[in-house]
Amino acid sequence: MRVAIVNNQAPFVRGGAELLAEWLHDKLREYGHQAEIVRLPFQWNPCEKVLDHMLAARFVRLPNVDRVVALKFPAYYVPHDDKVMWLLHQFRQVYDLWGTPYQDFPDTPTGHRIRDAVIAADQFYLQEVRRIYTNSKIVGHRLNYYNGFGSDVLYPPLFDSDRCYCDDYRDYFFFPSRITAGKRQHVAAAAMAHVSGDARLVIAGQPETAQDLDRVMSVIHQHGLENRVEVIPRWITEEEKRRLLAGSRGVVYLPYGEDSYGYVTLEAFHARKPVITLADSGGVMELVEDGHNGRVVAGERDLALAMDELSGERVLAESLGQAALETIDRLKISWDRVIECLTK
Amino acid sequence: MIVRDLVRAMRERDHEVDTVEIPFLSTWDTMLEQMLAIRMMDVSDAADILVAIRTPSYLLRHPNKRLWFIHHHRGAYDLWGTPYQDIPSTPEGLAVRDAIVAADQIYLNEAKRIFTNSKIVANRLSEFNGIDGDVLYPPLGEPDRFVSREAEDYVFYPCRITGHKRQYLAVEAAIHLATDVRIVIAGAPDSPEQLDPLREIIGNSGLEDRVELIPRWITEDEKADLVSRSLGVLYIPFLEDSYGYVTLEAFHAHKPVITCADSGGTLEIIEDGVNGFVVAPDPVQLARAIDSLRSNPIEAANMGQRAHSTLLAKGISWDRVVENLLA
Repeated sequence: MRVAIVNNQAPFVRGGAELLAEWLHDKLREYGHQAEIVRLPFQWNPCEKVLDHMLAARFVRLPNVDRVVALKFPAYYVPHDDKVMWLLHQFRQVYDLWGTPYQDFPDTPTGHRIRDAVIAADQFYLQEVRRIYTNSKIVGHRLNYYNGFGSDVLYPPLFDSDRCYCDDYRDYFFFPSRITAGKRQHVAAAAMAHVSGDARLVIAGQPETAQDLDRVMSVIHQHGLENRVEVIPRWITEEEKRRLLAGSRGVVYLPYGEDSYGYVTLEAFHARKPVITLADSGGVMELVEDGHNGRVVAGERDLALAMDELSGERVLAESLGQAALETIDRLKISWDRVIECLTK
Repeated sequence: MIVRDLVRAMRERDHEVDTVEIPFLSTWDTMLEQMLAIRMMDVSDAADILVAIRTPSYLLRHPNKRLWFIHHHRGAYDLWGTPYQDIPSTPEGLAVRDAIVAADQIYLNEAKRIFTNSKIVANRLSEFNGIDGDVLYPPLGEPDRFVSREAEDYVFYPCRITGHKRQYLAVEAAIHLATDVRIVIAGAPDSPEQLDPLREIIGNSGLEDRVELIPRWITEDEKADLVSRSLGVLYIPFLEDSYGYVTLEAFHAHKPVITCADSGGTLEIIEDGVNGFVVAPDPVQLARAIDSLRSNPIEAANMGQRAHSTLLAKGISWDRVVENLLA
């Protein structure tokens, strides 16, 4: 089958959606399909541009394509007789972010009209999509809540999950992620001040800004945690990451209000590690169940207690880790399923 | 290919590059709305410079737009009135053609600088749109593959096997050869039937020892090797716009190129008797040129030397391309 993966493009910007499109492209070919990525430029500042790009997507033709897999607004408007959606997100500014500090869209008569037009276009054009999958429950819920469309969750797997492994449960917790306020490494560091056992914390990732690193380092210095918290303030290779993951007691991952469960969570599960997260970490909760394959806690002190508990009971970490690995099967997170759903 | 090579050349020179590749279907009754779509997509803030390549990508708006123009939508221009006209001569078709020309007129002129890939295309741009473009010849993506080695006993024609590339002329020339020179033809046939006439001439005239046919896609390494050990290269298409990568590959390997007087773009860099031969599209003439490379190896080597110098003289290099496009 000839599959066009349709995504947006902001030149010079690469994020999770670009990565997922490339992974899907490579996997489709691995499964014997032909695949191409089509990227349509999109920018929404000033807000009137949104309408132009919506209309432009409607005018694009995709010849020699059996199936379109559309990922994002407004590229998903591209006309095709056989279109399925693997929705990463709608135009959140006019939906769930509207009326929040993240709205970032003008609250003017023009802004309101454009908001109405986006909602009306979604309402109308999403009817022509044959099937809708979303990358998370939350995105599916929103689509249902705001537009009344049903959908199935199709979790994005890791590209090469076989490479994650487990070789020990040493007494440290691992927090791999870009270092930034939203990922809350500083909260993890602060929790270490309340840990009574010997557990250590290893934080690794590229700081987004110097202030982001300072925020973490000042917590460490303030509580004298230099011997308990190790910070690797740079981009680490996949190999380094997998090695640190393989030897850890568990993973700490505390993003604030993320849509998706995060590849960190999935990597941890493949490596048979429990994940400790916070109750307001959003999509992470779609995978992590408190006491089953990790811990869902509220605040620094609970975080410290959870770490102490896992640190004191290696067997507990092992059994939660085993359940974590089984969670992946139970939720059917696999490329077999993704390719089957998107090409059937 | 030209886009991929240009991206690499710019990155090697420490520029940040991203590509915008918008699909475009060239059926006449959908073209205008697709053109409108491109016009409405906004990348004007995304980069310092926009380099537009294929038609109609120059419809994208950008305050600092450059154009490396490869060809028009030819069915509306030089191929109009020929069997290759791809827009009907109905009132609707004429309106579409006029709209394409009108759009080109406006949006080509938005470009701060305009280059073309050949004189032929520059001439068309001047004739049809009244726009002057400087020729900026596309260099090879990986020229270092092509090196000079001692010449053996064959001339080489590496190219997709299809009608207008005229491999049959090369095979027919083999009938008229006076020396022991051989002809090696390599390339994937567009369809299996493309091979029938070639095999027929070879069989009928008993040319099995004279003509070696490699009827498949060959790797870049195989091609480079065959070029480097050849006496010279044949490139005899009918009326191509550009000089063809084959010509450049030969020139990089210090090999002369034999082409035909009606081959089009090759004539922009091949000079008869200087860095190759330009002959009539006729098997006898072609055979004479091929024989001459075999019987005068020193002159052939000298021509190869001058072929290599031509690359410099014509300024065919990525340094020049990148410098001009970004100047």
